[in-house]
Amino acid sequence: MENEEVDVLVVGAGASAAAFAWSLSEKNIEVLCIEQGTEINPREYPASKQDWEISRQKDFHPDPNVRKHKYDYPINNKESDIIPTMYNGIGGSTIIWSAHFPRLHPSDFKVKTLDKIADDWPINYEYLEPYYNINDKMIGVSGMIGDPAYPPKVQRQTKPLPLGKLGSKLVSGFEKLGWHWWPSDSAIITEPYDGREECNSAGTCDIGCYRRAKASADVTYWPKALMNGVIIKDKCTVREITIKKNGLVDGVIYYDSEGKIQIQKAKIVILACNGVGTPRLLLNSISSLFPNGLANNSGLVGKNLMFHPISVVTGVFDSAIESFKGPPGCSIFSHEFYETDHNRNYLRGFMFQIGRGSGPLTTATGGLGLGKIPWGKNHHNIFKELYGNTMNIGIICEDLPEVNNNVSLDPVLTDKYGIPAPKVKYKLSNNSKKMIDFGNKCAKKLMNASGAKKLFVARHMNGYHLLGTARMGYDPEQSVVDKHGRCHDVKNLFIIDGSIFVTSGAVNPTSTIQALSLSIADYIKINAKNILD
Amino acid sequence: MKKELFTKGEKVLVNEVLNCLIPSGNGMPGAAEVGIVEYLNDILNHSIELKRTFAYIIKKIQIESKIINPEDFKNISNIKKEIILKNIEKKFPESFNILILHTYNGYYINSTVTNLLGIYARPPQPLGYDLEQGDLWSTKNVISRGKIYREIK
Repeated sequence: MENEEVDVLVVGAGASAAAFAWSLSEKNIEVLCIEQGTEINPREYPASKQDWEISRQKDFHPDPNVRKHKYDYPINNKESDIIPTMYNGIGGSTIIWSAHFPRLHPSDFKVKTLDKIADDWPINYEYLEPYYNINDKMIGVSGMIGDPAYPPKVQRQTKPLPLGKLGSKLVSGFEKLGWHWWPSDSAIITEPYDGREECNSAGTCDIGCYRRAKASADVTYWPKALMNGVIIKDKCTVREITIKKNGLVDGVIYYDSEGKIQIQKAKIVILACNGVGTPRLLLNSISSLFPNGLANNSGLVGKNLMFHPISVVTGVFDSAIESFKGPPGCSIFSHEFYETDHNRNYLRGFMFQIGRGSGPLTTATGGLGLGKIPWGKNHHNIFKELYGNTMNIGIICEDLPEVNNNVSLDPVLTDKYGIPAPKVKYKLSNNSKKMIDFGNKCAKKLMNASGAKKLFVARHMNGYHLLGTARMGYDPEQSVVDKHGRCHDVKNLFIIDGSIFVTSGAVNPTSTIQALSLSIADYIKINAKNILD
Repeated sequence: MKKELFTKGEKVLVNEVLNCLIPSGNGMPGAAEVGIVEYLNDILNHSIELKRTFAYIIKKIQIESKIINPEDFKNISNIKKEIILKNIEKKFPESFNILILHTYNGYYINSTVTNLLGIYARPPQPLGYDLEQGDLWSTKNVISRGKIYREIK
């Protein structure tokens, strides 16, 4: 069935789509969004239920292959050193995200110029800064200005999240070593803001925020966009993007909530399906004009996948640090080792993201990266030693683009509609391995300086940040989109998610993804009348 | 209506196994004492796959018990029970891990257990927790150490 043509069609309803749709809707531009998942009422999140921790193993597990929700598609990750994770629904992965909200550094946009590796972005920090600021205001960021790891920022919307006993311990360690640390910029409000309640330190950000204190896209941008007239069609799975003989796209074919095929025409198509879903959709959109996948004349669609390799050093403390209290991924961070130092045996750098502990079941089942607490006669002793007494230093490493790390289509695996599933190939580079080794040493030193009595080191297998698979650039042979997210090969097709990152930096990307998305929306708004000329 | 999936004999065996996995001690009850067998029966009612796994692992424990000791699992010493379960864990790690996971799941969401763990071991919402702001004064030291990002011209 064919539906009436819309001005702008957005595929996906996560962080980038929400910001983009809101921005366009402020100018009364008609926007329709198609999303494979659906919405959840925050009050239905499991944090108030007795079995809340079990949800981490099921409905809120970050790996769609484990979660197997009816809105998820399978991913072949057998050849990947890191498991891609995501959440499909209105709000996308921000539903389960930790909400750590740093920006890229100015140097992240000039990697090739500075370090002679990877590539420069076609934009810089100054270009993106106004959009970072708009986004912060929409989101409501808690934090503190004055951080010497960044150019000066405008006032944060709310005061920093409480550090708790855990944070204070670690601050003492940082100060002993004279290393950089700072209270996190977090997309979690600590005071009422924009009709949302402040965080009450429940520590359940990863299973959805019951109070809407965490700025997932479903409680920030989407309500405003919907008020402005944007329409979301949920539980709908896009099969392919359709193209006209003149080389412009004209819409999508999708399965509606009842599984029936629908055709949706649009003047402009926007992809916001994340660094795995976007290349999958492009590669599934084959035509005589694009036999190797839509907008893929460069051959780079799906290539240069970046995740951020993560290692975790966990410290066990003698005194109760009540580490189950507070947002698990947000307290303080350090950029002491962020920038390239040629005295080290690797290039680029990493961030320390301090993580808190969790509830009793997550402690027992090893969800903190410590492994399962052994069964048997020592079980209670070990549990008592760990529960509430651990904290983690996440070593978030910059991942560099490599064409061999990629997303392609699996020749056999499909989703419930028979649409080919993505196959992810990823190998940890030697640069990343060296960086992890050095990061582990530094994190151990910090834990010891903070008074930890026992340490555990584990590599975190999840890849939360899906980046680089449709990179931006000036040269159509070396990139998929231009600096406005517009595909070089198809001028009415735009990409606004993490796929367009040129390099990954060593920070959580959502703040940058949304800033980019707002900048692309501005470009479309300003050029709306002649965008197809 | 939930079906009783364990036979009487199996229930006795499972309870003995549960108390080996999480025995009583340190002021905490054993897993059998807080009725984890009922929890397992409940989740098995919802999953054919789990039902098969549990049937398989129970069978393996019964066989291993007979090899080590002709008596019933219930009547042998705790040391021997532990040896049997360690053998099973070694031989059938995947299935045994599932048994442990669901035992832990049932135990650590049990209200008797969470009450004993203290006032904080409750569902975190809607009450949340009080958390102290912590030492933000030391940020002045960080500032005094100077800028650490690279300027781009």
